[in-house]
Amino acid sequence: MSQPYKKITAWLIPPFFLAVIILFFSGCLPRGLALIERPFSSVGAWVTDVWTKQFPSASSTTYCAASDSELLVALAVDQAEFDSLKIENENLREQLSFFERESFQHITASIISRSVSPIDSVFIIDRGSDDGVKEGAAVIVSEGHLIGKVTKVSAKTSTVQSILGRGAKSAISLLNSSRTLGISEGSGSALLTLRFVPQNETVAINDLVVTSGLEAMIPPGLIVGVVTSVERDPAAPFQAATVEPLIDPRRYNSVSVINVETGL
Amino acid sequence: MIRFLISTILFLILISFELAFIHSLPEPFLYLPLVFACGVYLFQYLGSSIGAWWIFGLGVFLDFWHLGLLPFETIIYIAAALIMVFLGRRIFTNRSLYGVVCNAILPMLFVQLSHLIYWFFASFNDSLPFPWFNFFTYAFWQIIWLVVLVFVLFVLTKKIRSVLKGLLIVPSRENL
Repeated sequence: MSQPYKKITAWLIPPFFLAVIILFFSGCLPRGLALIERPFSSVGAWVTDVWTKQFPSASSTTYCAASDSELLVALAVDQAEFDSLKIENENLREQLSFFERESFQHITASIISRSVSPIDSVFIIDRGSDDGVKEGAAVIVSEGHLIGKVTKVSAKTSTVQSILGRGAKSAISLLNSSRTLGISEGSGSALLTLRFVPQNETVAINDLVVTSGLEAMIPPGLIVGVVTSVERDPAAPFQAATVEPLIDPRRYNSVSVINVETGL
Repeated sequence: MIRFLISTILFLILISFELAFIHSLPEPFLYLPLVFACGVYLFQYLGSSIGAWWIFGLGVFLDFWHLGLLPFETIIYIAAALIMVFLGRRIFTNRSLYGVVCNAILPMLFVQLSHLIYWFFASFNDSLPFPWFNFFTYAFWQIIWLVVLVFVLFVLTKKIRSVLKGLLIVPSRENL
């Protein structure tokens, strides 16, 4: 390499890297990368979907066979819808809740990157504060299945922590006769732990778990999962239960962010 | 300059492919450490220092997107890249499968060990039980896939070398 060429190169490299860094942090580069990542992510989610259907036992998040799982999801959706309608007919307050539901603002987003962490399940969506995404907003797929919450928002992208992520908490209620309230907590595995359920409450296996609406930005009635086991220790003030999500977030590439202010 | 530009573009494509496609795959395929393997291969076998920069860049990306296991992945990956450079220059001979595989496994073991030590101490202050099984499954598969990837790259070395020479990423043999 000739001497003048070397000098030119040496002068050009720092501005080049500076430009890359500026583009990176200004959000232009992530937005540009999203264009590359979106099709990759779609194909990956499709491969996972096909793989899960072909080899249901290999699925990391469901105990049921794929067909059973689909039936269970359909049943859960029907049950949630039925219960929701029943409550709305009972009092005006629930009607108000219904109208609030109708006015949800949805932002459709694509998943562009995912973590591979066995501890904290995180993914990145291609919508940010410029698109109206707010921190703490619920992220749903399918017919109202909660899969995570927005934890960090940048101008062009947002970070979403899955409800399965270690330490991810959600205010929930059970669709049983007493509408038991509690908190679901992710443990880093494929199951959620239900905490702070008083001992006098009756929690049964297959009870449907939905969001309670007591958490800011998270509307009520979003499906979280079903109860698969209950642990009762008479000496403890609360009982615990294990909740299995009805869907595998890795099979989805498009999500919806709900922008709504709720809570007490 | 062109070499840096092309290698940066190639890195961005590879990291996008890993974070978007590979991480969306079912287990155990999602644990494939593509960029890490390519970085080690570039440095150890093809003699390009760009490999070390790619491993550093991987840490930066994981931190920027908050996709890593720890909040300071950049530091761990810088250390891993330095270990790789030291081992490659002082201990292992390049161009041998043994050297490339060892130089891939040892920095990766360092990364996994750093995660393990951090989470071991962090789990003392946490009421939740730590998912050790998940962690060891992840670490095991990362190392297995790394060896498989490096081996595949080693087998395809002539083709890769000619492509990278065309892209000016790898210096010609006489410059090594």
